[in-house]
Amino acid sequence: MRDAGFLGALLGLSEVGFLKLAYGNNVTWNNQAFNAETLPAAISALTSQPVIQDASGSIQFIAPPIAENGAVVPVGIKVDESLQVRAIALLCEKNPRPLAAYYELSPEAIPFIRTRIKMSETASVFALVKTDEGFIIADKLIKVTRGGCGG
Amino acid sequence: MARPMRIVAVCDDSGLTTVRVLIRHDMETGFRKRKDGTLVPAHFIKHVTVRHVQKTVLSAEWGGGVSKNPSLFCYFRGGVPGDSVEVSWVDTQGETNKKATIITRGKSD
Repeated sequence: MRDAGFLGALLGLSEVGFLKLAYGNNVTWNNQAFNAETLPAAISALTSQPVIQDASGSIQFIAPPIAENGAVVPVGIKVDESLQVRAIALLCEKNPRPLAAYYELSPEAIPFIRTRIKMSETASVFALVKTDEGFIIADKLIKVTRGGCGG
Repeated sequence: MARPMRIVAVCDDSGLTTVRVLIRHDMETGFRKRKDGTLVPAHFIKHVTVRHVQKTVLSAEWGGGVSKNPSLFCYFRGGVPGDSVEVSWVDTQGETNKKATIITRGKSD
């Protein structure tokens, strides 16, 4: 067992090493969070700290209430600039792998991210925001008339 | 380039720089089935980095849940017209690409 763990660690290291070579930067990809099959599992892989529901409206979604095509759903997340935002994770509750994207922001970056995600069906999308004061989360329901997983 | 990308970086009068990125990539989740029922293997962009004059402003980790031909927007302060902005990515098969542009004066959105 110890040998297997050692080998795994060695393989893990070499993969990181390879990516560093290929990419020339500190590269980490949160395997556990991206492979999590449920929303709570993905969130707990992203943080072990308590996650507080955003009650003050600091997190704003820029997304349509109804998406005609689940393969391309535009989602924007804008966070109050008074908060020191370090990272923003975008998750979709009912996707086979809920975590879609994770953004780390430098202090110069405005806490506003926009991308397009796939949604398998009508579901809530979640924004998990890492700030200097802790983690906050908000969600928004997006209705999908045509799912984006079949292709 | 096998997988072309487009970058636009504009800085408005308030000093806010907007970077818009479009990448051509299939972003295969690994869950999609072909007509014969076999799975199309996963192949998607894992990392995207936006640098402003060698300094990373945004570092993104993506999963298969990001749409085909993904787009990325990044907003930051401290850029001026003439500065360089470089965007690079790496996918699950180790394929990479990067492209640089120069910030122009314009209107952010």
